[in-house]
Amino acid sequence: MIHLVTGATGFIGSRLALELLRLGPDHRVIALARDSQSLPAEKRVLDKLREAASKYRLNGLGHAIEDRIDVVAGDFEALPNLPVTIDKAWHTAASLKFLDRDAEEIWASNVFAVENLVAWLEANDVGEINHVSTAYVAGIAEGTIPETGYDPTVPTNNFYEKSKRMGEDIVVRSTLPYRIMRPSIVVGDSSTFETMSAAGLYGFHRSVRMFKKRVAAHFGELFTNTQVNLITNPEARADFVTVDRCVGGMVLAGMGEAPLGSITHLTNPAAPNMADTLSTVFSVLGLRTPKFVSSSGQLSSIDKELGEKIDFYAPYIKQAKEFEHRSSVVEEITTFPIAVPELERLLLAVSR
Amino acid sequence: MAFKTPDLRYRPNSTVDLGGECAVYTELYDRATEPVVVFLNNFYIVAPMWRGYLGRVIDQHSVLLYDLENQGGSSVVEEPSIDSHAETLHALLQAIGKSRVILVGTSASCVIATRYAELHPESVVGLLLIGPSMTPSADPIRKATERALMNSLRLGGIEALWDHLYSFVFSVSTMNKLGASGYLGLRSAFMALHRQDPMLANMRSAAVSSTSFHSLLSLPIPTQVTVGDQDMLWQGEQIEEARAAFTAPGHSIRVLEGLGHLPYLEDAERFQDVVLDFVSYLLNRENPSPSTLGGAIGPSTEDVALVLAEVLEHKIALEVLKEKSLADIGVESWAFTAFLARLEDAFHFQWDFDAAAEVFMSSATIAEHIRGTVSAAPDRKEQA
Repeated sequence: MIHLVTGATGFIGSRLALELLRLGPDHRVIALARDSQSLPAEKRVLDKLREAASKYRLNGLGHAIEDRIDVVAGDFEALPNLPVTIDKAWHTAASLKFLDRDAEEIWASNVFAVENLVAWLEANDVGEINHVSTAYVAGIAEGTIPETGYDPTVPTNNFYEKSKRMGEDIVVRSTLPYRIMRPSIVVGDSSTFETMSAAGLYGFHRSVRMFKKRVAAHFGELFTNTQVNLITNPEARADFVTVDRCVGGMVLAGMGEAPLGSITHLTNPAAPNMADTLSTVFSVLGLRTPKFVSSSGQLSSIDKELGEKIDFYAPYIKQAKEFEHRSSVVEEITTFPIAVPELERLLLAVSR
Repeated sequence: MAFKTPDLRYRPNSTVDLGGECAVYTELYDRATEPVVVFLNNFYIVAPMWRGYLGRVIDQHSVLLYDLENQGGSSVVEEPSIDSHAETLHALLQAIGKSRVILVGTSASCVIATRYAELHPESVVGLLLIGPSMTPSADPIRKATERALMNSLRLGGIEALWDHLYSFVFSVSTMNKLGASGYLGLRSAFMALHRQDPMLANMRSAAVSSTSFHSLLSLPIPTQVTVGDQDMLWQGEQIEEARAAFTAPGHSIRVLEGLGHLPYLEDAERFQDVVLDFVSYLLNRENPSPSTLGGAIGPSTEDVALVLAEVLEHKIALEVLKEKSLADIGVESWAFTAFLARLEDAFHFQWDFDAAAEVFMSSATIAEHIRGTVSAAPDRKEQA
């Protein structure tokens, strides 16, 4: 079976390419990637896959990366001719930026790229597309989020979510048979706890580390003595799904567990709450557990500064969502209990 | 020269746990000496800030800096009172094993210092009150100021409070020195370290306190009030009224020319002179040195000159007070009377009605006379 994978140098895409290889010797992967200024596409992809295989300790791949990965250089504006007929396309490439100021880039990656890709796949008679979206196309909705098309009457939280909605629309409107995959916040591997990501939990960790440095410059070790005050819901669940579980569920669904035309949540019902997440991030950085307060009168300007950093995560931590899983098999795969010890290992891996 | 924002860096893990949910950020510069000089934050400054104004004091004496509850690195309490602030200090001193203190209050924390002295007089060697918020007769101004500050905070948050404070706590010359960069730097730090609700709770605690300037008059503890002559709370007759009221032994007023409500921020060197002078006075009073009272010697010329310096609010150099005659120095009659009373208090003797006029020629002649009096006293040994 020939798979086309976009975003193979990315966090989800690299793991996906490796998992597709692990399906067996009759599975080949064509990775669509751009040349960078310093590296040709092939080297970029193969280096990234080798790094991922090493971090995740995926033994038994042998020479599969060299033998069964073909890299096709190109981008979504100038898609190349395909060397062979593709059975399944997996579109993981996306921009994870979210700010309005990055709208152009987000639009280019998450909307125009999908339009071009879908047209190209249609023109090349590709069998089907498994399109990786996000669980947060649900926007500000709370409660149980069904595995159906998003509700367009519910507003989105940011430009990223809006662009992912548009991407889903393009796929659904196309003539291609499709599945839509909706991961939540993807974190490192559930065995090695290593990651290839700098976003999500890791982006937050980085934000707090930078915050700590900025505070230290002016106020020294203030927050080893007292707590940062934050307005948040400590009980809200931060839906972290490990990359291996997420991609495991994706491959299972994409290989037939989920019917064509379906939507699959790749989320983790056993994810930690916000209190544990924040306290772990802070403690790993040598800071006291934040204090959760209810009014802005309890915030100093530095509390507010950190709160603004966290605001990006607000959709994921303040709006309580439970994601439906129609397939219990997929749910079983994506479920991995993450409590404080697991969070610590995830963060320590990135700190190293 | 550009204004430099004070060093506000906190030290790592420096809170003292006082039980319950009370933990107090503390910096103790322990010289293994007592009494410990305790600097009480007013509600608008934090402990690390003091470091920049106390280099010489910290070199010479044990110094305790700490954040009040509801500020900086200390824990938060919903409704503090002046008594609870005083008791927190007491618990902190017990926790760090210190029992004898010289309290230095500033603005609203003078209320806490005074209340502490009322509650625990046995442990207070002296009170130094810098720009106290309580004045002899300007209480309506104090109350109005407190109300206005609280309204600024309530309605406009920490930023509005800063603007309000800035408008009246600095002298004109300091404002000019600060310039826009100093103003903005201090505002940024102020907003970073303070939170509206806890700050308001602290301000309320002072506003409802019954401790007043007059509480000081009955304190059996040496007390010095030091005010800048630009301090808006101490305008009009306040200084004169305070001077007239402060007749008890060991009570004094010191005025710093050209400075406003926050002398330490405006002129750290002069501020330290004030602290060091006061501490020296207290130590000398408490333990007259062998070179002065011990043996057959008694007070030296310098000891007497030091007392005169206190009375004259340190406006005249000590060398002059040691060497020149009182006539040349120009000691006014009110000061002369206060000087004689202070000498009795400091050196534990009583003037004889028959003391000859030449005794009062200079610090040297007075010292000589006291030495003679003290050495002749039957209870000299106990006093020494």
